[in-house]
Amino acid sequence: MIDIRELSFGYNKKHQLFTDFSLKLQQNCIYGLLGKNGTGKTTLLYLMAGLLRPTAGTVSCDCIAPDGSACSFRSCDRRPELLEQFFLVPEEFELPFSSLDDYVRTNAPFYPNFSREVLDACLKEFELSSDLTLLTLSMGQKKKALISFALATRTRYLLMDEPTNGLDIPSKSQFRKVIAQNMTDERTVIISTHQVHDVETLLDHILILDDSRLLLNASVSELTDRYAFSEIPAGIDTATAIYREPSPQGFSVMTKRTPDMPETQLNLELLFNAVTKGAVR
Amino acid sequence: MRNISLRRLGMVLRRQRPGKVGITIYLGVFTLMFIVFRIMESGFDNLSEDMLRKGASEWIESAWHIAPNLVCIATSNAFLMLQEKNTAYGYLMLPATMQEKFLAPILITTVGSIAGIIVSMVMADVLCSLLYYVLEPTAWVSGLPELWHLLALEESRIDGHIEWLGMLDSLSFYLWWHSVSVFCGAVFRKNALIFSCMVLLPLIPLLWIRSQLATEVAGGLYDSWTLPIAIVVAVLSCSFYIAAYRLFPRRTLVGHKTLAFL
Repeated sequence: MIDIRELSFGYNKKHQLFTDFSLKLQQNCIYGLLGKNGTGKTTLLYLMAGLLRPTAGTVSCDCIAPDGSACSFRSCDRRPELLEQFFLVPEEFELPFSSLDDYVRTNAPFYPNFSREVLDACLKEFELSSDLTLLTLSMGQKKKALISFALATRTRYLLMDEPTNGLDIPSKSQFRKVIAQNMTDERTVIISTHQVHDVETLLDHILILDDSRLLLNASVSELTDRYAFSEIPAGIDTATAIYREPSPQGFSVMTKRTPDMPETQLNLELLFNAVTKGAVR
Repeated sequence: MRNISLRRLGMVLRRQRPGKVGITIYLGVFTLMFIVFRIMESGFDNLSEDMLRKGASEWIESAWHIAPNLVCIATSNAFLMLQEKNTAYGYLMLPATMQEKFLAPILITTVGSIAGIIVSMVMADVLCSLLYYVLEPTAWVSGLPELWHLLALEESRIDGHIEWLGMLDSLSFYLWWHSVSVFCGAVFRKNALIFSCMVLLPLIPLLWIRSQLATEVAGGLYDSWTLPIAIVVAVLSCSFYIAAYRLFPRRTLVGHKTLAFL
């Protein structure tokens, strides 16, 4: 579990990005962290990973100590016991001028649960060979290689910032597949993204940040239980809608779901717009 | 030292060591530089054995004085991977303590550049000796015995004084610059080399004051200020090393925006 308590942080003293921000993230869950540009999604990921130091409050994470006992560490302390349970896939990154095998040889020993089988399976799924030279890869291929390595580390916490940026169309479904295949009961995955359609079917829980506040913190099952999402042709009455917006078919509509209505698939873009415009609280 | 595990330090060293291409480029550039030095000292005009011997000895002496500067420049760039966010993630997220992440690049740049410079000097000397041997087959002159003499810091005695005491001035200067380079590299995000050079600037007036006040000992081998200054510099250097070691764990991915130029 990641426990964020009364967190305050700002890149300068005048403008605090987070003030008294609290959040708990459970294991065995894929979180979607959504928000407009500049709302602090990436900063929140960095704070969770201990790459930034909060000005007040704490971010603490559960992990397993070398003796097998459960323990909790503050992420800003960057203890190796915790870092070996954390992997961050940033939006932009550089890989060394070496082969993937060399990269694995030098980096895998840091992660006690690393699995070569998982790496090979993920690479195969992404249609990449394991004898790659990292520097010659395109941005999308690099991302696929790093995501494969991240999953192979089998860390408890996997943080991904815009993981589908740069991936080609087939790779997006491959990405969903490898994440779903490698999800375990102990794992917490946090995906920060603007590409909501790429991850819509993957997420278990939605977090929407706006103005550095948490506007929505709800599981997908709660949301699909409460709301129905549909496409309605133009001309049909949408008076019962909580929120609607024009779409090529007419209107995308979000309504309160009644027990007699069938459950619909979550329309994340519509939900996001509804929440940020104040139609849903 | 409880924050340092030798196993993990070894893993960080292994991850951070330059690749074969990097090492080849590094050795190639330094060997070429030292070959130019040697040719500048010996030239091609007078290839008598005496002149070649003099040239070989002189180039090793000059290279010996340049080598520590190269080591300090390399050390100030030890934390180059933390300058850019794209490379800093991977390093800061490594499952090792910050102390291990601090020591590994310093060991690599310091020990690696010392070893690299010595190997380059030997390679340059052998290549130049071969070149001169081809041009003048009666003379096989190498500077290696001189290099060995310098490396061994031979304890020959001059007027009853150990010779290496005469080197204390330069040794303490380079130790200080090394500690300043480590400090600037560990603390400043950018321009560590410039900052470390700036710290050295006040030395100029201090050296002038010293030349006015100190008295020569052992026929000019060292002066009355050599030993006290070496002690002060050793203490100062230790403080810089300790400060860098203590401050480095506070490094984050992004610094304070108003101090972005650092």
